[in-house]
Amino acid sequence: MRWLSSLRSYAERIFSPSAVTDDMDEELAAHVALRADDLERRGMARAEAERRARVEFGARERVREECQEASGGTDLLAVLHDVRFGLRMIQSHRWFSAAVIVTLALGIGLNAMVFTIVDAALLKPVPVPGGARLVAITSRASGNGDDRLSYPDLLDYRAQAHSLSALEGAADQEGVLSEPGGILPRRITWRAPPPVFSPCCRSTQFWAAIFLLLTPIPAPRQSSCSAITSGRLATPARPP
Amino acid sequence: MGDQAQILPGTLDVLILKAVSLGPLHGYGVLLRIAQISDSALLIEQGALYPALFRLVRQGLLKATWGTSENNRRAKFYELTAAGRKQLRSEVEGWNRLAAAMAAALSARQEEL
Repeated sequence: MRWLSSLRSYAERIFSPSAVTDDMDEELAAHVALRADDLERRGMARAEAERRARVEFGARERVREECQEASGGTDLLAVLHDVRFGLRMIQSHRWFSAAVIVTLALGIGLNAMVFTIVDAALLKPVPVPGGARLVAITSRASGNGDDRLSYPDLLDYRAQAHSLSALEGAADQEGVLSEPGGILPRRITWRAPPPVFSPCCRSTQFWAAIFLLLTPIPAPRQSSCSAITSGRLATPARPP
Repeated sequence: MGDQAQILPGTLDVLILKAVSLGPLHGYGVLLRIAQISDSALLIEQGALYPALFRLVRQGLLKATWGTSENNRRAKFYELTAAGRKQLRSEVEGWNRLAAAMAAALSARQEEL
């Protein structure tokens, strides 16, 4: 039942700190008085006995602090004091506190927003089978945006892509999306494998085989990457 | 004063438990009782007593209640709890083992080896 005693001690310190302090003061004062009584019984004058008892006891304030520490809950009390002090400061400096709170709110909100974007764009896997392993790669010509990749090049990369379970090409496609209910039609762009590559696309391995490469590379064949597809794949007239 | 010894670190608690086990005592009474049972050989600093008493109360080894002293002063009296009695038994056994071992070690003579 030691925990019960500790809990009671903490509760007394937290909910009635002045009563606990008064209790300690009274006890320490009683000790000094009892010692003075003892010295007086041995023939010392009362005033001298009291003085000597106080000297023998030492600094009562220090003893009281040590008693408070021994009673436990000092850390929790310090936190409560800090919180009370903080609330008093907020109340007495309202405009400054409001500015600090708004600044903190903006900072936290901005931080949360950036993390949400990074999480959605970079960290969270694509919601397809094997999405965590899915990557895409794009070759970029210096100064000209996306570069095209020929189908024979893709075959070469596919043959040499030993670190990938599958590799597929994709091409940009455009269309118009419209819905009933008064919503205006919108032009959208998507990227999909051309029909000539369809057998591979139907496998789940395909989804784990597209690389995303954001940095430009000088030439596909000199790249250290194991596989590359271009943003606008040059579709051959006939499949090989 | 010359015959009095400072108590070893960690022994104050067991001395307090032992003193209180002989009957409920207020703080000053604990000091007097320890001096009495040690033939005034152990010196306890008065200010060091109370943190130890509060610690033992927090640990549930002592129980404190306000009462009246023999010279009619209001004082807080301490008595042992069941946990305190158990703790005292355990501490006494440990000290007796240690004291016997120290006595045997310090009284050893070469011809006994």
